[in-house]
Amino acid sequence: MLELLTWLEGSALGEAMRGMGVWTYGVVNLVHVLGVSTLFGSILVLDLRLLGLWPGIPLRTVATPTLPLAAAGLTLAFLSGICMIATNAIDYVDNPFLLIKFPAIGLGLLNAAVLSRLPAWTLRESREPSPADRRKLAAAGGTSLACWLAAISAGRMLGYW
Amino acid sequence: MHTRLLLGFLATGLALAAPQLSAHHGWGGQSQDQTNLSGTLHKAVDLSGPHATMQLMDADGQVWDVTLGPASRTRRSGLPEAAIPLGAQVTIRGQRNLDMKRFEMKTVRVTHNGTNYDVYPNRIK
Repeated sequence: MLELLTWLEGSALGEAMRGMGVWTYGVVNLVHVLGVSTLFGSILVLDLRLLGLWPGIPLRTVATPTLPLAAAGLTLAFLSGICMIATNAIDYVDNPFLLIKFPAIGLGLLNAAVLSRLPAWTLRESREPSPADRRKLAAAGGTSLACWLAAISAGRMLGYW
Repeated sequence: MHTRLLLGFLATGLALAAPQLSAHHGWGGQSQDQTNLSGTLHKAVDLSGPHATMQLMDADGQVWDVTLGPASRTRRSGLPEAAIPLGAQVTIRGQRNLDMKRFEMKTVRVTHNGTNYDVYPNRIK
């Protein structure tokens, strides 16, 4: 862990982040906040729909705006996040929140991959979900919500450890 | 139309958020070199805020802002418990603010009475 983080801090990205002036970190941090809020704001709506809220709105109608927004938010958060951690990677050695945040992100992505392969999801355009479908969708929505809440909470606390 | 609205929204957000973000810049605004600074304790450790702080007065009477780690990290170093009295001789090791008009050091180690309080043990060079 120490070797990896030392390497990351010494990398060209880390050098660039520290060498580009005092506003660099703040602006990259802003991009991270925008990315995370876009991701969570949109995934929250989708997950609550999967959990059974707003049954009158078809799932495909909710998925159309929320999925691409969540993906865009995740991309922004990922790119800015790498830059931020490279700035002072050594400070995160032994940080327990790191060990919550990254597994939670991994689990959230795995959950999304599993959901995207469920027939209840892939056939959302053509059929009404059965009660069994609804249970699977709700489980995926609940897992997603738990993962992203954990990732964001641990991520926020990371800097204060 | 929608795009323009969105861009305007983003720009407004940027303008509003930018000033508040300046305080939290990690090591980006500090010199890469570590130096020692000795003086007397002018203001005791304060654990409030994103980073713990204290103040030293050097031999020329200049007061320095000593930026420590986040509160929990600073507590782990043992520094708050040490309760160094005001006026005591203290040496700090850290990286000075790149703005030479600011007398501020981001501090990796505080030494008092022969004891080291390592706030950033992995950073001490």
